[in-house]
Amino acid sequence: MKKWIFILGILLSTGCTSYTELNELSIVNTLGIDYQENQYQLVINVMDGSLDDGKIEENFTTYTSQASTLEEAFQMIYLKSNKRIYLSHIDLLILTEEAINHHLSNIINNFLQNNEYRNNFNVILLKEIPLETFMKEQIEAEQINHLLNTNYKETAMSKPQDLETMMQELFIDQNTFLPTITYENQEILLRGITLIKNYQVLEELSTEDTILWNLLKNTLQKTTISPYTIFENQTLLTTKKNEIYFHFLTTVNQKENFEQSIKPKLLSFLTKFQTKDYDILKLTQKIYQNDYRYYQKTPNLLSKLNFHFSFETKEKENYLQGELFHETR
Amino acid sequence: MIEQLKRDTNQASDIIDKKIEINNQTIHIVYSEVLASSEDITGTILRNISYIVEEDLLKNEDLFTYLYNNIPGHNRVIVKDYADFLKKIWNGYTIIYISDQEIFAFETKAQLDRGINTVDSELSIRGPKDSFTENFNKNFGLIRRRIKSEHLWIADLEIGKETKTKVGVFYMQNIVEDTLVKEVIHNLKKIDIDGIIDSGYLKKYLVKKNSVFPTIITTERPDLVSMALLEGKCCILVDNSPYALIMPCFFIDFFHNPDDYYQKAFSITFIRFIRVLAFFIAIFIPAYYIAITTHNHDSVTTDLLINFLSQRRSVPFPALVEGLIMTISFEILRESDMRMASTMGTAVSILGGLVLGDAAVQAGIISPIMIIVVAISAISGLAFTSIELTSAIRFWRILLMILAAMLGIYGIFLGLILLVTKLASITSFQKPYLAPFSPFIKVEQKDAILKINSGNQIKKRNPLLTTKNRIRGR
Amino acid sequence: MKLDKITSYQYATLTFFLLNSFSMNVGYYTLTNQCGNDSIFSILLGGIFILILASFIFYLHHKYPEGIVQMMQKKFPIFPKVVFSFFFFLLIGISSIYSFSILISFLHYYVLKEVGLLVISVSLMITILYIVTKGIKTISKISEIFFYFSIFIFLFGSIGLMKYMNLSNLKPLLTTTVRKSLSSSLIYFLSSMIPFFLLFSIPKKEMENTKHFKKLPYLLTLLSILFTFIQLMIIISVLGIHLTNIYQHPDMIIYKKISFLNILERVEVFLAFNNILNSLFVIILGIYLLNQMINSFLKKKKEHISLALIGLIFIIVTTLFTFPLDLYLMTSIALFLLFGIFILCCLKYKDNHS
Repeated sequence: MKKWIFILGILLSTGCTSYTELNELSIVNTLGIDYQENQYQLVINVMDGSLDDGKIEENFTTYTSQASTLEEAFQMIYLKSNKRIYLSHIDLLILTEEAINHHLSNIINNFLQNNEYRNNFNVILLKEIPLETFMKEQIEAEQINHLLNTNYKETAMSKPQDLETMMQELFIDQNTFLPTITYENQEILLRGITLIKNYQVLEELSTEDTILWNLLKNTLQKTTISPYTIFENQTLLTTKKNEIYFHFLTTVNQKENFEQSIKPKLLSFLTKFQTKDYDILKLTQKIYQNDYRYYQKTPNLLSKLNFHFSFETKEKENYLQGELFHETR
Repeated sequence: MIEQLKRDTNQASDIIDKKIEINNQTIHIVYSEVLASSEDITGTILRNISYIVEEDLLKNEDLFTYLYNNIPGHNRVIVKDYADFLKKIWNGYTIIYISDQEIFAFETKAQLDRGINTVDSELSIRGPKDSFTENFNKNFGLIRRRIKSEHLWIADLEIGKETKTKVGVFYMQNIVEDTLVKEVIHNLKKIDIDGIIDSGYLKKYLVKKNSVFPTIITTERPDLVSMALLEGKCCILVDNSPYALIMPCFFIDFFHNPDDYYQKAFSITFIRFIRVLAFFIAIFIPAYYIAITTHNHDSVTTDLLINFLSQRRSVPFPALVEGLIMTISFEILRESDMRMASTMGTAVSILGGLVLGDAAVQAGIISPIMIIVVAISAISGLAFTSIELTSAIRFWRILLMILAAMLGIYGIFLGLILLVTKLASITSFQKPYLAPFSPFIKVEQKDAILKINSGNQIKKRNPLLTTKNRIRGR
Repeated sequence: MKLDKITSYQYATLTFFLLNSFSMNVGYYTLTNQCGNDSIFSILLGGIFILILASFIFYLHHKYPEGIVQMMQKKFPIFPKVVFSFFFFLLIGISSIYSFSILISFLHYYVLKEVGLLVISVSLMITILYIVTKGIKTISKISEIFFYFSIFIFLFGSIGLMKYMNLSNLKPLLTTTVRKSLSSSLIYFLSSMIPFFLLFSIPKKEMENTKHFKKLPYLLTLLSILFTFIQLMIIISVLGIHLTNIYQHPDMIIYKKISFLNILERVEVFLAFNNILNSLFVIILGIYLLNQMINSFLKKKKEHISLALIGLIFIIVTTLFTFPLDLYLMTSIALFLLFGIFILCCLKYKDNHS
């Protein structure tokens, strides 16, 4: 008897007020934020599915809105969309340079405060094409994510960045990076990474520089820095006060002159950003973690850093004997 | 007394009264034609009476003593009074009546049962296939054959004012706890009812608090009963019922099969995990599906969500209503399948499959995924032999579906908490239902879900069931 | 084997859940906001204090076998009895209501985003009242069963997060002052006072009397401290100290990252069950104790009516008021002091009576 009263109590008290059918949701797949003419422009790609003869077909719709704040922009979408915007399935966030330069902190705060977001999606920077035009091509976020991941694994010419890692890096020293994408001739083109300093866009790294950057950060798996092909790499980083020691364990196709050709490139790359006062590898953070007292005592640590490189290269086995083909003229 | 009998039964046509004259004395042979075996009567009693030579009677003065000593027969007793007289007639005895003070009877019961058949409700794959029948003595014999021990005691009772059904309480005297037997016999003696038709009638008198989950095992298999007796449980057999009752029982007993003990331990561990998984699937899967399509859309991957969305597009009902329609249709189909005669059975199954399957989906009433979910859940629920557990699963499945529709996955959590609370508060004859998990008994873990061979170690009995005799052997 | 007594294993699992309620009621953000990366040391230090307190509580339980309610009824004269009962009632009531409101807002924020707070609180309160009516023995059996769930969820979450751990996020260590580390370890230590007080209220006659009764509860107290330590370590190494300071429940945020083979994804709602269980036992035992206190003052025992009243008060107070975030800590400190005075009075009155 008691049990029935309790069960009935639970059931009658709830009343089914918050029942949401799947058909009442519009599932946002890609979110794009731009800032034009003192207004936020918000573009969303909504996924939908329909059953056609036993086969499921996915189709996309794009909605755009503009407002002076991001929250208002979300509200304005309801002037066009007939379903509730559901943000838990976002797979990609696209930002433009103007959006970052003006109000990156506002955008980040919006993602922190709204609980519906799961901040594990990728973020990219879109260049040289208006956001709305790109979104209207209705490219699936999965395609771009696969592009980023495959490129990163095979060539390290770019690196995917997710929102939570971006937030962590911004909290440390307001610097982060984003992979860059353009759209030319109906094709998505991936270009290196763009550096962000103090919530502003600093500069875009070329693909070669991005490879060097990945090599120094120990996030490189295989790549080609012509004429050398790196098959495996591990970078060990040790710090001793202001001395930074990089030790590379690489497997290359030709050991000859590898160290001599790579070393100056790395050194010039690091010193370039040292002069620009930009801690590209977050080395000061490393020193802060390893040697807290020295970090506290030394101001302007970045300018005082000295870099040292050492290599331990292995050559990959080559089973060809004898001379290779040459071009005949 | 015979006249009284004829008056009381309104000259019943099955009561036969044969008169035989011996030595100027009339003896009556009274029996019930339907309950007594006429072969036994003609073959032994009447034939032996016909061999009586009048000269022999000169040596013995008393016809009663002569007949009592010289007629061979099975289970010969003296009848004391009218109540005893009636009892003997209704139990298939043949009464030899000389006078109101000189009556005796022979047991000549007719075979009114179907003989020992194979089990049909609890299939045995690799084990003995005999099952109990409606005859109390045969059932008793099947147990005695397996436990040939002087410690197997039985307490005989007769319950039911009109039916006077014979009920036997079996226990191993050197193993079982005396309090359990006393409580069972006390509860049975308190019963004041006109009739006991089946052992199921006794359940509500033995159990104090009724709950959805069964606290007594019913079985048709004598090997399961023998195993239970050797563990220290007590068993009840009822005349005219092929189902024996075993008590006390634990929740984990419903996940065990007697066949488990005849096979390798390793494969049985896997099978038991599958049964536990089936239990959880049967209860939680429809509720989980309803929760993720109504409240917790972020708990599934995007592809699956789009899949569900496209399938549910054409369905006019909310997910809960869809689920309830499917569940109830399945139960109706199952019920009609059980009651239908076998000749029409296949036609009904085909109709049910077609209606509940393709046609409903084509008509846009049900989504395909809901059919899959409910079918998996229903089939998992049928993996258990106990009908009561299956209906308990059915009740909790519907309750959880409603909770999930109201409160999503949080509703499922509440349902899980309620289910565990309910199971933890049930006791079966003062033994906790969830033993050996709560309270945790280390010794019993070898046979609860995991089945581990104890090798050369001493095998011990469950400490909850017996304190007298813990050691089983090696 | 005594069938209807609480075994030491059940008592130990109750201790485990009650101590684990730290992550919900006080929260990791309190510790990390105080002393950053050194909060993992403060847990270890606070854990040592908790073990000392645990041994003291188990010794007291052995010495005074009656529960608190019965002890006060038998031994105390009227005035101290009323005063102590009133203050205990107030403190346990406040901490239980606070725990309840934290759990409700947690559920509303992470698990059920569209359902109203009132609906969640009513359904939860009805479940809790159902459990309380079953009695302390059923409560301890439930804790034993759910212990397995809790361990499984913890292991599943930890293994799933191993690939996201970046141990350099834990550095630098030993950067904050000793005073701050000590204060955060005291926070952890004092927040365990309410769980131990609730345990102390279980009368010993309901428990099994074995020689090694203390061993298992000790072990599981240690396990709870270890789990808290490991959890905090995982949180800081995955999220970094800055993000940990922002979220109120960082453990839920990191669970969003778990993905096994791209199939088992988005499992944070199921792993939230652990948090629900941790808070649930504090609320259940709190309501049980409040009910006992009320019924000890009434002549006619009307359990169901008093329970319903308690439930109604909980729901009303939760919906009307919002509580400051350090209320739990304040009540723990007050309870700690009051409990000390109570024990001294027990000694005094025991001497007087004997």
